[in-house]
Amino acid sequence: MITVDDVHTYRGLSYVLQGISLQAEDAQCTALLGRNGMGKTTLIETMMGLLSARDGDITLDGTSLRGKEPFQIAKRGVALVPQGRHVFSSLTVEENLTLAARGNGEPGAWTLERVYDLFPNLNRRRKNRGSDLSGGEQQMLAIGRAVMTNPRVLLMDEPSEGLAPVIVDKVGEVIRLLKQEGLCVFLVEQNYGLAIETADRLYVLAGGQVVWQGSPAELEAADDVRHLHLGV
Amino acid sequence: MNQFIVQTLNGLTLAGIMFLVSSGFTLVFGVMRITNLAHGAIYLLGGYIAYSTIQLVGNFFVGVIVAGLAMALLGIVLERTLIKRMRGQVMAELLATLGLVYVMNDLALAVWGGDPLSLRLPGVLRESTTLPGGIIYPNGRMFILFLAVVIGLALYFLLRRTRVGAIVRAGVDNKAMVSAMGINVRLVFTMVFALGALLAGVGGALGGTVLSLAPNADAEILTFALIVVIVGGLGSFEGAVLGSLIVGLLSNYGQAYFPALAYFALFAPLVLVLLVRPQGLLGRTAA
Repeated sequence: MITVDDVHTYRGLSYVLQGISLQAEDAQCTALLGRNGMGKTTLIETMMGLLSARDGDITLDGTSLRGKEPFQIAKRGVALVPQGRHVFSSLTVEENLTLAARGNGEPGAWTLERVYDLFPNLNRRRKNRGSDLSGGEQQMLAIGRAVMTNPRVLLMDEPSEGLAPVIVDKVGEVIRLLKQEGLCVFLVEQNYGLAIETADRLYVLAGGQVVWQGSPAELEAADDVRHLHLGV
Repeated sequence: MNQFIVQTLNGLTLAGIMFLVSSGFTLVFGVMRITNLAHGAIYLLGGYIAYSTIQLVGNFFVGVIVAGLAMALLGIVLERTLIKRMRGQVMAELLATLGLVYVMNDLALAVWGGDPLSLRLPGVLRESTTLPGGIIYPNGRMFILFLAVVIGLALYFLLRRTRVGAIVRAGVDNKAMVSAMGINVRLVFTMVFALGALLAGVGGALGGTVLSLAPNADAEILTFALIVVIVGGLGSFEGAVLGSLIVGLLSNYGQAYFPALAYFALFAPLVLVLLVRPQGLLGRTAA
């Protein structure tokens, strides 16, 4: 479980996150929706420690992550699937996956074999460089690379961006699988369909603040929120 | 013809020394985005330390190893105390490494004086061998070339076949993402800076047998390294290999056949590459 408590973050001089509080539970998918430029990526980067919050706190299972470096946060069990995928383009698929692989000592932990079973395409292309992959394959690799660290919390920043619908379905399927395994998935999306189908709880971000929260059914019913903040 | 072969071998030896210096320079730039202007001064200091060690213990190889390790240690100290304080501030990094050049060169001048020194190779390496075709060529130069190739292969293995190498290459691609994977990038920076300094120190020790060690030798080798990495591609290991070969050979042919145009031979490929392929022959365009 990861908790964001009244977090304020600046990006350079601009005041992006203006006091955000939310919570993502284990074995659930928590989705954050909002238009472009509302601070979704800024929040993910703050949670990962890539940006530091000016004020507020982020806690992982009750332990504060304040002032921690990204690598320390990652070692405590937070993994990132970043916007734009950012696979290591000069590394092979297999190197991308094994670079930071960490077991958690439990049966059923993520291994190279399990990732290849889930994404057979990656197995076929394991000797190819990251830069040689299609967008969909890169997204699979970015997800595989993150789960290979056997995290407790998975942060996903717009995993559906620029992908064909069939690949977006695959992403949704993977999210449901990870939830079943008890992972806490925090999903930032612009793809309303993916979010509503996979999330157990939703937050809507506008102007650097949470303006709405609720269940998928409640969001489906809240026409005003969807029109005003999501344009759907 | 024989003369041409000798000049080619000389050019290859020079390329080997350039490779040692420029591979460290390009590695540091690729991973840390630091243009280390003190890289030449580290080369020269490495050469001087090798010189004194050889005088002291009488063994050339001990001198080379001590020079490499001493410069690696210096690299760790510099990175931990100075470079890390100004990370990301390009101007501060440039000025700090430029300042180091003056400090290190003045210290070297005080300790080793201003007269050119050169390293004496041991026994059989001071002799010459007659190659097929009746070409007489010094063993020492062949040995330097051989060592440069061995070190190059070891570096290639380290970068391409080990996990540490994969982390370094991933760091060239995207440092923030490496950090988000749970890898302490700062530690990687220190290691890479130390490795760069080690290569420069070994380069100085080996270079000191062919080129002379003297004030300003550092500026000369830094210029070579800069041309090599611009021609080959900043941050690219393969680029450093290719750039060293091109610049080493052309520079040597220039000096041998058109001494009046030696600098033209050195800078012409640079200008050509900048015009046709500004990111360098094997360089990548900035993302």
